[in-house]
Amino acid sequence: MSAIVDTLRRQPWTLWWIQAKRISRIEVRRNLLTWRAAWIYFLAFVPTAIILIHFLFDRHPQFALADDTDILAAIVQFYYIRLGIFFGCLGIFSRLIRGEMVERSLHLYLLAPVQREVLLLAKFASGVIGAVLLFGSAMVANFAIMYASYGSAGYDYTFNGP
Amino acid sequence: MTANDRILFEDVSKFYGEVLGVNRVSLSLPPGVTTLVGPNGSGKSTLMNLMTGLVQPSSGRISVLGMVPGDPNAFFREVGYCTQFDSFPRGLTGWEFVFDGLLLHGMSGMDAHRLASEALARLGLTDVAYRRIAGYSKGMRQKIRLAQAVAHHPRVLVLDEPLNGLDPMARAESLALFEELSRQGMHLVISSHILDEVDRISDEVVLITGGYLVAQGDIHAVRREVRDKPMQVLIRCDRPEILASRMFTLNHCVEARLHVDGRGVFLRTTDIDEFYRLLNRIAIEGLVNIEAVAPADDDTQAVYQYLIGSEGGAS
Repeated sequence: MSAIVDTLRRQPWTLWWIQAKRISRIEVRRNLLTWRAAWIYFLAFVPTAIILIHFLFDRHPQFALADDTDILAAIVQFYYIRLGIFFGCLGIFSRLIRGEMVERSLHLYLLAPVQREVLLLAKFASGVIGAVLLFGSAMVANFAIMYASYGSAGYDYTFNGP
Repeated sequence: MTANDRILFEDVSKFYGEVLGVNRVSLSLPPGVTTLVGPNGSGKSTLMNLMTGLVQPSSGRISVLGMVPGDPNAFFREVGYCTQFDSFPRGLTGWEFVFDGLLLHGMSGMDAHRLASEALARLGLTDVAYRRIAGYSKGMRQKIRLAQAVAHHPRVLVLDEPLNGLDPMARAESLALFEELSRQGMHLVISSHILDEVDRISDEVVLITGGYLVAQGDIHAVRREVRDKPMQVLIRCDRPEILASRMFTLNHCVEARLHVDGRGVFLRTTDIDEFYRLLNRIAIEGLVNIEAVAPADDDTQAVYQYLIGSEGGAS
C-alpha cells in the first residue's frame, strides 16, 4: 500500500495540473470562441432571444408571474434538457476528439510532452467547462430577463420562491 | 558512443493488419543528419512514426537517446517531429500554433513567448505570425510545422519530407538550418526525395524499400559495398583516349566513355583501389596531364538506382 502511495507521490502532479489547465484553456478558446460554434450558441440562446423579445415588446401584467414561471419551466424541461443541452454537448464533445481525428490535427497533441491520460481528462474538462459556461449563462439570462419585468416581486420570487 | 547517444531500432517490425509497414529493421543512428530514402510506401514514414511513438511496433524495441516513446513527458522534451500531415487545428494563427505547443511543455508564458518568437524568426515567419494558418501558402505551412518542431530546442529532430513545397531559396535556408543544428550535435532524421540535396547534408543514409532495410551508412561506404556495380570515375585530362587505353590493360576496368567535350573520360572499374594506384603511376609518368578526378556514381542518386532501381520513384 505504501509503495502505491510513494509511486503516486512521485508523479509530477504540478506539471500535469498546469498542462491540463492549459489544454482546457486552449480547447475552450478553439472550440467556443469561433464562428464554427455559432450553432451551439444558437441552441443555447434561442429561448433567451424569444424571452427577450417578449420582455421588450409584450410585457405581461403583474399577475402573470406564475404563468411565466410555468413557461420557463417548460422551456427548461422540454427544450434545454431534451434538445438543447443534448445536441449542444454532442457538438462540443464530438469536436474534442472525433473532430480532431477528422481534421487530422490530433497528432499535434500526441507529439507534445503530455501524458495521454492528462490530455483525455483535460479535453473532457474543457467540454464540461464549455457546456456549463454556455448553457449556464443562457439559463441565468433566461431567469434574469423573464423576471426582470416584475421588478422587486420578480426578484423576491426568484430568490425566495412563491 | 553509448545507447544514450543513439537512436536504436532492434529487430523492429510493424504490420498494419496484413499489410507490411517495416520488417525486422535494426538501426543505430549516431548524431548528425540521417536521411531516409526509398520509394513511396517503402516504410519511411512508418519508421518515423515508430520512432516518435505515433504507432506502436508489432515486435522489436525502439529507444531514442535511451528513452522510449511510451513516456511522452520526458520523450517529447527531447524530440521534435515535423510530420508530413498538412493539417492544423482550424482557425489558428501561426503564433498560436507555436506558442500553444510550447505552453504544453509546462514552461512559463514568458519562456514560451521567447522561444516562439525565436523559432518564428529563425524560419523567417515573424511577419506572418499573426495571420491564420489557413491563409498560408504550402511552403509557409511547411515552415510553421518546422518552427513548432524546433521551438523547444529538442536534441532529436524528425522531419518527414521537410523540403516539400519549399521554393529553392527556402530549401537552401532550411538545409542551412539543418546543417547548423547538426553541427550543434543534434540528431536529425530526414526523409526526402530531393536526392542531390540529401547528398549535401547527410552524414548517413538509410535506404529502405518494401519495408526492408537495404543499406545504412555513409553514402560512399554504401557505394563501395555495392560490389556488383563497377564504380564510375570521371577523369578530366588532356588525352583521355590514351588514358582509357592504359586503363584497359587492367582487367578490372570494364567500361570507358569519353566526355562530350572530349576533355575527360568516364571509366568503370571493379577494383577502385587498384584503379587509383594505376592512375597515380600514369600521372607520374607524365604521359597524360590529369586535371581532376572525381567519383561519378557514389552519390545517393546512383546508389538509389543500383539498390532500389526501378521499383519506384524516390520519395
